[in-house]
Amino acid sequence: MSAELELAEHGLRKPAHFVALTLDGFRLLLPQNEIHRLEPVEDIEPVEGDETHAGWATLNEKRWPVYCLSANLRAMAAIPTSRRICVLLEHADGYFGLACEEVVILKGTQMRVFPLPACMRTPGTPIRALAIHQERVLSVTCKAALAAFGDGRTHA
Amino acid sequence: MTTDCTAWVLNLGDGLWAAVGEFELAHVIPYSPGLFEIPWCPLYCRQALIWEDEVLPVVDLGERLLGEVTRRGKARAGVGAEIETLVGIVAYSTRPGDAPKHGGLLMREVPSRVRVSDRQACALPEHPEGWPSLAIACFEDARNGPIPILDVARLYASTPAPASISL
Repeated sequence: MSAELELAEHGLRKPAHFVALTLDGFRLLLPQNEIHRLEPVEDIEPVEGDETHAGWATLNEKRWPVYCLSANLRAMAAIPTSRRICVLLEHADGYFGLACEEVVILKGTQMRVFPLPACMRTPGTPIRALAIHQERVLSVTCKAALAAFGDGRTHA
Repeated sequence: MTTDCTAWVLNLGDGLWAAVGEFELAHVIPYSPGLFEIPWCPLYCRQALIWEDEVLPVVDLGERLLGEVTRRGKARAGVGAEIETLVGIVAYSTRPGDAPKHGGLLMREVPSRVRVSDRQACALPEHPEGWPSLAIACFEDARNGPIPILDVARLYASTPAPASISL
């Protein structure tokens, strides 16, 4: 079975473009068409108290959680100064954000994408696939996986 | 009447040995290859490599079988970074007629090829206790004692049982 067919079996389809989100140097790929908008981190309101996310983004006169993940995808309680941009994603209940150092667009045609091997799957993982890009292996996620991951409320 | 077959004996490090069938070892990468960390995977399978334009999961059976015990021991002895690791590329198939799939397996030295007779069949080692979920059989080797024969398809094609996962 081809990698594309296997991806389809897992409900994934390779998009025309990915964005590579940099998190403490770790690059996480997300389909570009899943990004609702980008916000500068300066516009993110830091959280106060013991929240599971690191900040709030305001959109449509409502506040939405912004998560900040480390290189090993553990939730951080505050947004470090190295994070300069926030990607906002729409999902069933509204929106949520992810604070990143850098966001770069990559062509889907520049990479091969494979489903995450069965032996690498864990119940909480937000990783859905692996991609080869410029002789490197990058992790691929999607907004549904990230939303479920945020609901898991996993802190460092 | 006995049956003979050929197997590859693999040194997995930490005193662990295992075997795979003659045609289950597809290739050996004779140096430490580029391994890429994948977050939120089990500790024993948190790396991937590129082989023949595919991404393969890399399994560390020492970590799977000995886990924390080994990590503590290595930390005490200052062992780890200086050990050269090879990667064996193993082949398996989950359905008859399907093209083989591949996975990487960390090893300490180039595998040795042995002839195995069914008269060498023996029980799996009692320690470490994880062997029954990873091996399909075992044989007695004159040099290294009992050598479990890996169930390669099960190792790579099944989702880890929650009890075996440490992140």
